[in-house]
Amino acid sequence: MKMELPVRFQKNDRLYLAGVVLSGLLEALLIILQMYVISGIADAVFLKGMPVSAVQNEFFVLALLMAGVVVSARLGGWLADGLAFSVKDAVASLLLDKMDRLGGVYGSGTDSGSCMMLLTDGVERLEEFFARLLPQAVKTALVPVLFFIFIFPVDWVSGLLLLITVPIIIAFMMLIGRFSKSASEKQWRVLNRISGYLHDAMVYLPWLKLWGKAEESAAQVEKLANDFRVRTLKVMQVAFLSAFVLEFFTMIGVALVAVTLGVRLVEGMVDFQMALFVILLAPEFYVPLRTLGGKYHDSIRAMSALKDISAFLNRAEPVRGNDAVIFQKAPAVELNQAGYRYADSGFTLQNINLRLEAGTNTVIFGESGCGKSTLLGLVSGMKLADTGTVSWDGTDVKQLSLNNVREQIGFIGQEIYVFSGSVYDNIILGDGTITKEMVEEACVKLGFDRVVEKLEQGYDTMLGEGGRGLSGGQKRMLGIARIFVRNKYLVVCDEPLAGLDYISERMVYQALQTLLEGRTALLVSHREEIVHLADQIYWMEDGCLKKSGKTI
Amino acid sequence: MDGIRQLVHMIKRYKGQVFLAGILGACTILCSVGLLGASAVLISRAAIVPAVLELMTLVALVRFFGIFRAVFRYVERLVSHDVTLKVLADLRSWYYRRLMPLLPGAVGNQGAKLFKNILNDVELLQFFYLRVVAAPLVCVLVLFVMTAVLWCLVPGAAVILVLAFLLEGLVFPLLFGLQQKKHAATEQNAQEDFYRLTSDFLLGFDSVWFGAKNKVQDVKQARQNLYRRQRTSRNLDSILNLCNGLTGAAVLSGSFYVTALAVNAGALNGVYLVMVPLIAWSALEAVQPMPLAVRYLFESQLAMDDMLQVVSTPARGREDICDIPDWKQEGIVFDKVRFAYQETPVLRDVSFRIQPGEKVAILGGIGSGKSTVLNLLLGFYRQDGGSITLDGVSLDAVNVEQLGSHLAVVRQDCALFSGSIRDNLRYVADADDDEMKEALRKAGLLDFVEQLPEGLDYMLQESGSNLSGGQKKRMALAQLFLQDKPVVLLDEVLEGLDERNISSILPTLMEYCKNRTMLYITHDFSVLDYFDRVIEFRDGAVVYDGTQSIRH
Repeated sequence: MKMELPVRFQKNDRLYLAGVVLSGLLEALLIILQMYVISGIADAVFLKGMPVSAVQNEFFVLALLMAGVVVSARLGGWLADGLAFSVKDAVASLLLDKMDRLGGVYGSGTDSGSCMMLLTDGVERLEEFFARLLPQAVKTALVPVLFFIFIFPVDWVSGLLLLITVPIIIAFMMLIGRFSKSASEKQWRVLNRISGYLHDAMVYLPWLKLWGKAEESAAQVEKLANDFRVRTLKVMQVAFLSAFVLEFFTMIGVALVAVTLGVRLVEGMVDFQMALFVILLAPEFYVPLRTLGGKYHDSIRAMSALKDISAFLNRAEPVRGNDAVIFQKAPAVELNQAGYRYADSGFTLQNINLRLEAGTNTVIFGESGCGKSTLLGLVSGMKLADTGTVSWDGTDVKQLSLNNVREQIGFIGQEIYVFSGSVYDNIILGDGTITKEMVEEACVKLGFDRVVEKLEQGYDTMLGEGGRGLSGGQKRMLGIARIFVRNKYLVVCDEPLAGLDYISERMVYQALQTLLEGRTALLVSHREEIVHLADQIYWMEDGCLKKSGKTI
Repeated sequence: MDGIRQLVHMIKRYKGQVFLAGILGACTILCSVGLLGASAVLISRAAIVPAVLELMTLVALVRFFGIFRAVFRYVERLVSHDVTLKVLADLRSWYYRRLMPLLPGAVGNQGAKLFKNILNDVELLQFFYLRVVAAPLVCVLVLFVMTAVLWCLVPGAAVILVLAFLLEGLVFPLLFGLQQKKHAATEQNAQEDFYRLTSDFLLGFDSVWFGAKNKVQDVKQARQNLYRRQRTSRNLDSILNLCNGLTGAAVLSGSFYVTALAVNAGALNGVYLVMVPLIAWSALEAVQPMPLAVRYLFESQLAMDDMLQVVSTPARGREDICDIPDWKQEGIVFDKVRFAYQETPVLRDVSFRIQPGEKVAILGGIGSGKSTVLNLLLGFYRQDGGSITLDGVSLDAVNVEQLGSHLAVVRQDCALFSGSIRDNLRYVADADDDEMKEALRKAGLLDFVEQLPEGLDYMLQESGSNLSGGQKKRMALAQLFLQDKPVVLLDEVLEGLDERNISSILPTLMEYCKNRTMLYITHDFSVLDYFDRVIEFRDGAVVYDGTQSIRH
C-alpha cells in the first residue's frame, strides 16, 4: 500500500504518533506480564497446592497490571484521536484555502459537489485512518514481534507455529480481498440504481398517478428492494469470506498451539507454568491482526480519500504576483494576444485582442459554449492567460495578488447565490465597512427598494435556506446591489438578462444602466436587448472574437 | 415509541430466522469461550496425567471449537444480513405504499429535501434489527448459558459475571447513551452549521468572489466548532471504553480469586482453576455491542418518528372517488376560481372558457398564477372556491389517475427515473421500439440515442441527472408524443432551448396537438403567433384574453 500524506506532520503530530506507538508497546508488555502472573498464580495454587493467602500479592499485582493494560490502550486511543483531529484540522484548512484560491466556475473550475465531498466525507475518512487504522497498524506490526520475542525462548515450537500462520493469514486475506473487491464493484452500480429508483418514485409519484402507473411502481419498488437483497447477499457471501479465513486460521493457530503444548507437557518437555503462559498469549498474538483485518474495507476507503485529497491539493493553480493596484476611477482593460486552454477538455481560446476603454461598456454575443465565460474569467483576473497578457490600466494582472484582484472587480454571474441571512446580510456579506444606510441608499438608486419593501419584513426578511426564495429577477438585482454598494470600477456580467420575464427584465435592465454609469464593463449575453447598453459590440464563435460596429 | 413498535412488528415476520441468527451468534461467542476454556483445561490436565491418550477428548474439543467458531460466524452473518435486507425491502415498500395516497398535495414544495431525508432515515433504519434486536438477543443467550455453567463450577464467579453483564450491558450503555444523545444534538447542530456555511462558500463562490475571503474564515470557524464537539463525543466514547475495560479486568482477576479460593477449599478440581476466569472474561465479548444498541435505539426512534410524521398528514387528494367520469367534448371551464398558497392569494376569481381543440397560450411572469392554473387542472392542488370543469366533468369528481387517462402533461421538472430510456418511455405508454424511436425523432433526441452504444437501453441516473437540461426536456416531449390524450398541458417546455431548436420543435408540437385541446404556459412572447388565443395573467388575475394580433 503506497500512499502519500497530504500534509506534513507538525511537531506535536509527531509527538502524538510517538505516543501512540509507545502506548501500544506498553500495552503489549503489560499483557505479557499479566499472563506471566496468571500462570504463576495457577502454578502455585493448582500444582503446588499453595493457599490463596500466600499469593495475595500476586493477585493484587495482577489486578493492577490488567488495569494498566486497559489504561494504556485507552491512552493510545486518546492520543490517536488527538493526532486525527490535528491532521483533519490541517487538511481541511489546506483544502479550504486551495478552493478559495482556485475559485469556482469562472476560476479554475472546481465543482462544488466534489469539493463538498472532500471537505466532509473525505476529511472524516482521515479520522478513520489516523484515529483507528493507524494505531491498529502500528500494533499489528509491533505486538506480534514483541510476543514472539517472549514466546520463542520459552517454547520455540509454539513460537514457530504462530509465526507460520501469520503470512498464511495475510496471503489468504489479500487473495480474498481482491476477489471480493472486484465482485462488489460489479454489483455496486446496480445497487445504486435500485436505491435511486425509490427516490425517483417518491418525487414523481404524482406523474406516475397521472400515467396510471402508481400501483405498478409500488410493485416495482418492492421488486427492486428484493433484487437489492438478493444481489447484496451475493456480494456478502464473498465479502464475509475474508473474515471467515481470518477467524478460521487464528482459531486453528490457537488450537494447534494448545494441542502440541499439551502433548509435550505430558512428555515432560515443557513445564506447566511456561506452557500456560504461552497458551494465554497465543490468542492475544492474533488480536491486532484480527482487528486490522476487520477494518480492511475501511482502510480501502480511507486510502482512496487520501488519494483524492492529495490529488486536489496538487492541482495546478495560477501563479500570481504580490503587487497591488487600487482603481481611483474606471480603468482601461487590454487583452493582448491572450489565450487560455482547458487541460481536460482541450478547449482553447486563442489570440484574443480586446480593449475596453475606461468607462465604456462592451457587450459580447455568442452561443453557449463559445468561450464567453472563459473570456469573462480572463478579463476579471479569475483565470490567468496561458499566453499573451491581460492588463488593467497597463498593469499585467499576473503581477497582482489574488486578494487585490478580488478587491478591484465587481462580478455578476449567471447564478446569483443567495446566502441564508437577511437582505442586509446578503448585500453586506460580512464587510464591516458597509452600513445598513449604504445598502438602503444603493437599493433606492437601483430601484430595488420597491421589491424589498414588498417583502414581509423589508430589508430584514430572511432569505436563502430556511428563509424566503427569490425570483430570478430579484436575485439578479441582489447581485447588482452587492456590486453597486461596493463601488467597483471594473464590472463583468454573465448573461444578466437570461431567463427573466419581461417585467423583471426591464427592472434589471434599468438597474444595470445605473450601475454601469462611469464604470468599465464587460457583458456577455445571447439576448439582444442588452445592446442598448453597449459602447462596442463583439461576436464570439468557437473561441474567436469578431468586431461588429455599433449597429442596432 | 410508535415507530419502534412498527419496526418490531416488521421484524416479527422473520421470527424463525431471527432466533436462528441469535443462536448462531451465541454459538460463535461460546466457541471462542470454549476454545480458551478447553485449552486451559488441556494444559492443566497435561501437567498431571501420565499419558497423552487421556487427553484425547480435550484435544478433540479444542479442535472442534477452533474450527467451528469461524463457521458459525460466517453462517450467522449471512442469516442475520438476510433478515436485515428483508426488513429493508419491507421498509421501503411499506413506506412507499403509505406515501402513495398522500401525493400530490401532502408534502407541498419541500418535496426534494424531504425525500432525501426519508431515504437517509431508511438507510439508517435497515440496521435496526442487526444492532438493536440481534445484539441484545445474543447477549442474553450467552449470559444464560455462561451463568448456568459457572454456577455449577464456582457460584461466586457466576455472580461476578452477572454483575459485569448488568454493568456493561445495561448500566453503562444507558448512562453514556443518554449523555451521547445530548451531545449528538449539539454535534448535529454544529455539523449542520458547517455544512450550510461550506455549501454557501462553495456555491456562492462565483456570485461573491470579492467577499469570499470572509466566507473562508466563517467556514473555518464553523469547522473548528464542529471538531471541538466531535472531540467531546470521542472522549465520551473513550471513557465508556475505559469503564468497560476496567470491568473486564475486574471480572478476570475477581473470578480468578474466587476460583482459587474454591480450589483451596477443595470445592473445585484444580484443573479448572484457569478455565473459570478465562471463560468468564471471554464471555464479555457478547456485551460489547450493547452501547451501540442503545445509541442506535435512540436514533432509530427519531428516524422512524420523522418518517411517520410525514405520512400522518391527512390526505388532500381525491382517492375515494371511483365513479368513472363521463368525458364529453366541452373544453375547459374555469368559473370564479380562487386559490391561496400558504395564505397568499395566488388566483383571484379567475374565469375563462377554452373550446375543445383550441390552442391557447397562457402568458405571465413569475408569481402571476399561470402555473397554478396547471397544478389545479392536474389535480395536484384543489381550488379554495369556484369550479373547474374539464370536458364536462367537474374536477371535484375525478381522481388523479382518471384525470391522467384524459390529459397529457409536460412540465419544467421532467419526470425521469433511474432506469433505461426504454423503461422511461414505457411508463407513459406500452410502445414498441419503432414507436419509441419515432417519438424520440420528433423530440429531436433520436440522433443522440442512436449514437449511444446501448441505444434505448442507455441507463439514466437518478432524476435523469446524466442528461443535459435540454435532453431532459426532449425526453419529456418524447414521452408526450407517445401518449394519445385529448387534452395537452405544457408548462415552459421550450425554456432553456435556444432559438434554433425552438423553431424546429414547435411546429412538430403544434402538428401533434392538431386535433387536441392545448394549453401552453410561457413567458416567451416570441412563440405567441402559433396560438389561436392568448390569456395573460398578472397578480393572480386575467388581464388579457383574446387573439395575439389584437394584443399587439
